[in-house]
Amino acid sequence: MSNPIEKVKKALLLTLPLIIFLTQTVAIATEATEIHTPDFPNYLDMLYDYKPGTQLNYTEYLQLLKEFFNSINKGRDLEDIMSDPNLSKLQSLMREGGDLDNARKLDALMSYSTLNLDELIQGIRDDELRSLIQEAALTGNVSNSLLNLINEMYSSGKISFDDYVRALYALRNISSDAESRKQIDSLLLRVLGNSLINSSLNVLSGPGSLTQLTDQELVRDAVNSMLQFLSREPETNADFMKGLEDLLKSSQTSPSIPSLKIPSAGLALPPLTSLSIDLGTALPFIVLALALTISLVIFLKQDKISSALARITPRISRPSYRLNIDSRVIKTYWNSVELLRKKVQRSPSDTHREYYERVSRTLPEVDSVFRNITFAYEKVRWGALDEGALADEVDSNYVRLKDLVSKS
Amino acid sequence: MVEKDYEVRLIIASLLAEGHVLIEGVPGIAKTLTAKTVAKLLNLDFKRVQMTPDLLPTDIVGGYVYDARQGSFTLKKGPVFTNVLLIDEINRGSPRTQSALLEAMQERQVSIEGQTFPLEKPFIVLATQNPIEFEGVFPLPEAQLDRFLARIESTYTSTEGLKRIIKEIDQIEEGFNALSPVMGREEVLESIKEVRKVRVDDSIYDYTVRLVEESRKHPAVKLGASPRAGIALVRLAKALAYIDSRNYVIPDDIKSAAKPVLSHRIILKPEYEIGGVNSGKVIEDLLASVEVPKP
Repeated sequence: MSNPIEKVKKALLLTLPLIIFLTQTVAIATEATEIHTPDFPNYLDMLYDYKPGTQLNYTEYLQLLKEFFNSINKGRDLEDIMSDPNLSKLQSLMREGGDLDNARKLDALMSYSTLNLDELIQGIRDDELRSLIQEAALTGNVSNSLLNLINEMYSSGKISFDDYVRALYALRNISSDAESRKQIDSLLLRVLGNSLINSSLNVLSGPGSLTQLTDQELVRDAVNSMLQFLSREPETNADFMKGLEDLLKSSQTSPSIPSLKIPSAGLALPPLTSLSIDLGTALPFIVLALALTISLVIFLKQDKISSALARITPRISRPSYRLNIDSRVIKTYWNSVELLRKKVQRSPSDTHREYYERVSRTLPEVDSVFRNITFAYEKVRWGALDEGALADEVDSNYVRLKDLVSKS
Repeated sequence: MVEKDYEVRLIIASLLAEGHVLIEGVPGIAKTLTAKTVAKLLNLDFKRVQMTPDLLPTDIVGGYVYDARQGSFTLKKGPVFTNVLLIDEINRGSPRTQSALLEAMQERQVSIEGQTFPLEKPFIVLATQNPIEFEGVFPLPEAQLDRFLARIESTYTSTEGLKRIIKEIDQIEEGFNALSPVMGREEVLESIKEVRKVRVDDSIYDYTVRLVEESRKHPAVKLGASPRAGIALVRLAKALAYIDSRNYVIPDDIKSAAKPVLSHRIILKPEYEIGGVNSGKVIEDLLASVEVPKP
C-alpha cells in the first residue's frame, strides 16, 4: 500500500491537465457563441423576447414604414434617422411580425452608430477587414477603392452583415472628407432601406396579412415610398422591386380574396431565459467541483486505475522498476540501473547485456563495476543461482558504482 | 573459414536443437564449405544432394532395387540416411521431391515400400537456396519453410575478408583437408540431451509468446509467426545458451534466435514488400518494441 500523501500528489497531478483542459474548453465554448460564419442567423437571443402568436398591428407598421421612407427620400440626415424613436418602434414591430433577422440587422445599424472607432474596429471579426480599417484609421484616408472592396467583400459573402456595418461606421468616423462621408451615409441608408423593404416583404406576404388591411391607400402609399427609395439607388434590387410591385397589385385586388384565418405559426419554444447561466460566475465552481470529484475518485480507486493504465499503455509507459523478487542481487542491480539511467537511458526493450554494453561505451569508468553487478544479476535472475556470497560482492560494487557515478 | 562465425554458430546451435537449417545466399559464398566444415568438425557422416528438377523422391530416400545375383529386391538406402545432409539448391527440386525430403526432416524417418526406417541421430538438413533465381525453380511453400528451424542469410565477406580469402585460398583448402574432429557423434548426442536441460525462466516463455503474438499484429505482416515458431525460438535460444557455456536462457538468447527463426516464417503484405520492408526489419521492430522481462 503506497503512502496516502503520494496518492494525493499523484491524484492532483493527474487532475491538473484535466482542470486546464476544462477551463480551456469552457472558455472556447463561451467565446464560440459569438463566433459564426458570415451571416449565420445571429438573432437567437431575440427569441427570448419573441412572443408567439402576437397579432401584429399592420396599420401602424405600414404607417411607420411610409413615414420613414418618405423622410429618407426627402434627404434626411443619417444620424437623425438612426436616433429616431420610430425606428426602434419599427424594429419591435418587425420582431412581432416574426422577422427576427431583419429586426436584428436594424438593431445592429442603430446600436453600432453610437460606438466609438476603437469599439467598432475591435468588434470586426474578419481579420482582413479589420486590418484594412486599421490601416485606414492610421492614414485617415477613406478611398473609393476601399469602399468598393468592402462592398465586394460583403456582396460575395466573405464578411458578415455585422462586420460590414461596423466597417462602414468606422470609416464614417475616420473620414474627414465630406464627400466620403456622404458616400458612406448613402451606403448605410441603402442597407437600412433594404432591410426594411426585405422585412416588409416578409411581413406583408405572411398569411392573411393583407386581408387585415382595410386601408388599401395606406398600403399603396407605403409601397410607393419604398419603390421611390429603390428608384434612387444606383443598383436597384430587382427582387425587391418585383416583390413590391406584386404587393401593390395584390393590395388593389385583395378585397375579393376570401379571408382565410390561418393560425399564426408560433414557435413553441421553452422560456430560454430560465436556461441561461452566467458562465463567467459559475465556471470556477464547475471546474473546482469536477476537479475535486475526479481527485476523490482517483484517490479512492488509484490501484484499479493504475492497473488499467498499465494494461492499456504497456509499451509507452515508463518501465516499472518495482522489485517483486526478494533478492539483494536483483534489487542492487535495478538500483544500479536507476542510478545510471540519469546518464544512460534504458529502453524497456533493452536486455541487461545490451544495457551493460551501452553503459560500458558511454561511461567506461564504471565498466568493470557495472559488469560485475550485471553478470551477478544474470546468474541469480536467469540462472536461479543461490546468491550466497554474490550479494556482498554486488553490494560493495554498488557502493563503488555510486561513488564513480557521482564523480563522473 | 573467413567471417563465417555467425553461420557456424547457428548451424551447430540448430544441430543441438535438433532442427534443420536453410542457408540462403548468392553463389560462391562458401555455403557448401560451411556445411562440410561443420560435419567434419563434429565427426558426423556427411552427404550431399544436388537438387535438379528431374530428381525423384527415391533418389533421396532410396528404394528397393532388383539384385540379379541374389534374384531378389534389396534395399538401397538414399543419401537421407546420414547425419548431415546438404541439399544444394533445394528450390531446384520438384515439389514432389521437396515434399519427400521435408517429410523425412519432420518425422526423422522414411517410409520405403510401406516399411518405416528411422533416421540415425543426430540428423540435420542443411539446405541452400539462391534467392536471385526465378527460372527453373520451385519456391518452397510457407508450410514447408516452417519446417526449417532457422534460416541463415549468408552474405558476402567484408573487403578485408575477401582479400584474405583470395590471398590464402590454398592454405584454406589445405586447412579444410587437415581438419580433425573436435567431438564425436556420441558427444553430440550427449550435448543434445544437455541442451534440453537448459533452464528457461517462466518470464522468458512470456517474452517469447509476446514476440510471436506481436508478430501477427505488425501492420506490415500478412501472416505472423506460428506456434511452431515459438517452440523453435526457445529451442534455438537454449542451444545458443549452451554454446555460450550457460545452463540458463537469457533474453539476449531469444533476441539472437529471433531473426534466424522468424525471418522465413513471417509473410509480409505485398504493399510493404514493394515499399522495401523485409522480414528482418519487422523483426527488428518487434525486438525494439516488446518489453523484455523484468525485474
